[in-house]
Amino acid sequence: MSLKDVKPQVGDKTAEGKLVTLTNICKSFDNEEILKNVNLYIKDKTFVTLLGPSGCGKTTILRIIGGFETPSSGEVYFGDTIMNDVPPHKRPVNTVFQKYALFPHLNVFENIAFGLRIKKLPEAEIKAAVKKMLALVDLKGYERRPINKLSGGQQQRVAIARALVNMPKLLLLDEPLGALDLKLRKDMQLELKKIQQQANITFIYVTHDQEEALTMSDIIVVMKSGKIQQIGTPQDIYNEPANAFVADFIGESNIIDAVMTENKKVTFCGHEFDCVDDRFEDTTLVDVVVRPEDVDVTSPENGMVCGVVEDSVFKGVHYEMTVKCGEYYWLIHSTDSQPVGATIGMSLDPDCIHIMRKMFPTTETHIDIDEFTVEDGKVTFTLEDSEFTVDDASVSEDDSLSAVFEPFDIQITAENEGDFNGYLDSVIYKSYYNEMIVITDNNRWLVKSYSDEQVGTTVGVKINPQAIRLEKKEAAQNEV
Amino acid sequence: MKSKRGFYPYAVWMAIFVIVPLGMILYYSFTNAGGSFTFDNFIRIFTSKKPDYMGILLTSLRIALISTLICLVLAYPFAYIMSRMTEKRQRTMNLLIMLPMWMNFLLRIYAWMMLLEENGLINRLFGLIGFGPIQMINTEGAVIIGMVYNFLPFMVLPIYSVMAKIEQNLIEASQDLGGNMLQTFRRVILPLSLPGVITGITMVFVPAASTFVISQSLGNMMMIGDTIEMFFVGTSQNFNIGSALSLILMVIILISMAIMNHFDKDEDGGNLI
Repeated sequence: MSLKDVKPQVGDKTAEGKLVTLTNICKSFDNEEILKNVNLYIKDKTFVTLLGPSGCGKTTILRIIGGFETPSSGEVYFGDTIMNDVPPHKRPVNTVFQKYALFPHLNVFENIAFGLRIKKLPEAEIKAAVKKMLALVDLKGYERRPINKLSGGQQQRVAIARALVNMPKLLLLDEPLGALDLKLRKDMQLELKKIQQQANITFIYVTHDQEEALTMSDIIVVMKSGKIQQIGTPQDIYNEPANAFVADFIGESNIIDAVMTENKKVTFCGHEFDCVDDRFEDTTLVDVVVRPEDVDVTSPENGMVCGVVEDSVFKGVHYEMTVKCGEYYWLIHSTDSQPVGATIGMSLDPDCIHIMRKMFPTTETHIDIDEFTVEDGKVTFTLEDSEFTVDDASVSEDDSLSAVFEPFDIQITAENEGDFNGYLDSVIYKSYYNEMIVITDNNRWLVKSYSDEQVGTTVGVKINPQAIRLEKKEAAQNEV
Repeated sequence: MKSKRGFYPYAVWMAIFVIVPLGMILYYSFTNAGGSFTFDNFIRIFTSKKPDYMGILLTSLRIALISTLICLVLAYPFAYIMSRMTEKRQRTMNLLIMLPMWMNFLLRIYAWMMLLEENGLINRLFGLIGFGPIQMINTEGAVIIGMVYNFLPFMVLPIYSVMAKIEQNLIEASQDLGGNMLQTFRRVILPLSLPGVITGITMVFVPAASTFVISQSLGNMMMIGDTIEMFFVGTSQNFNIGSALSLILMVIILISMAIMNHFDKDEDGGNLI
């Protein structure tokens, strides 16, 4: 495969300046798919952040580039060269490891000099290079200190110096600031960005902290469940999130169910708003994202919709208010405070309404039932190794059926406590309920709940038989 | 304060079973049968030709050293491989190493006697392929085999426990910085495992140097431990000479351990002495 076959993922149309290219990368551990067909290229001298919740595969991508894991399929290119089988010590990259991985038996100087000693550079050269690095990371005079006598922040700097002293073209950083406290982390973020610009090399940075990603990156790659969700500049990702997951993960947002029947018009919270997007060809159901700072507070009579202030918290620069509008709770950031209990109007500029495709294509879970038995007006069928019985006198043995599950009547329980287990793939807060997607071996389930659950875990799913509606297939086909 | 009070029973125990016996050895080695002060015991040990105490001592130390080195060569790669296994496998290996130790030490030595005898199992197997018989029992080699067999777990376990603590990401860091397998071993794994090696050497060398059953049963020979035993419980009972011999052996072991520990620069290593 030549590089030309790889579709550019970032704005740039030319293939020039590609330092690393990943094509169709898949990776499984113990039959579990960690990466699902990842395509990505990294341009020279950029600060690229892989962002996503834990378990999304971001660290695995880093380890594949570093050579510590080999992809199950797909190619890793450095420039034009396939690197899949090149061991880590022969790759022109260096890594700043999570928890630093400094050598405890060596002092600061020897830790930094490690790579240079392996290259057998002359002693004078090593001394000069280490000295320069110590100055860069602000650790002059620490040469003889043992590693365990350093603070977390200092160890962090040694780890960066130890990698940078080898003058790699590409530096990989695996959640390097995770162990530091908030203030130090903020200082180090700016410092890392400065170091990247001074050294004029490429950084690939892994984090689950969206603020960190927005602060430092030239390009952010948002990931979830082993798949890339969106690639773009921090501004792109924040202003034009590709889906509800990205909107929810990056910054605070109101994500609301909406209907779009014509171009540039979208209806939610009982009002038809003007927007700048056209409708999707195949569906009228969309998700709308409104950032809290984009909601204008007006007098009730001038607002597009009205609501009652439920809660108001002073956050320094702005007030964070929760406003109840029908059953929806809007999160609003505003510089002028409104008293709790006041009725206010809210209006939105058309370009502040971001339209996104829904993560679940329908409003309910539809599953075809191939085998079932009918007895005394009761229909019995097996799904996910559990038996369900539904009262429906109209069904006969010859019908071909599909079962419809009302999302609010599906309960999430502890693992093994429900009718069957599934993987909780996504949890998105939709202004008054949580929209969850549960994946089982054969099906995807839409669940709506007022309680929160930990995403990325195995959960039990309990289905109230009263909530199952049976549809005859002919009827279902008309819908498609 | 609380912890200090809890220490008293142990202090009494140590006094009765460690300090007092040491004092008695000191006393006996510098007195004669009548109980008056003398250097005669030491003079006899250093000058006697029959029995040649110094010769026995040197042989003992040589055999102990060879056994320790063989244990080290066998145990080190094994401990490394074991430390990189999955946790479940590590537990199984640990069990397999400990298993023989659940059986009485003497029984295991007798088993080796049966194996190594002139008409023993090994020679009979050799006979089947028209080979031997080879004189194995009552040789220095048999003693070394017995010692290596008995003391190998004491070398494997301390090295393994230090190796298991070496985080995988240190090895990856070394590879990341350009180190190949050999360089990673020399610059990271070896220095970090040294405390375990020193503990292992201590735990094998000391009992090997003073053992007295293995040498008699498998080697039919007198090592320094057998000689000391003879003076305390044997036919030629002489507490004074026996104590002096013990003291010399103790001093030699202490000096060798001090030299060993000098190599171990790691302050918080797991070494014994």
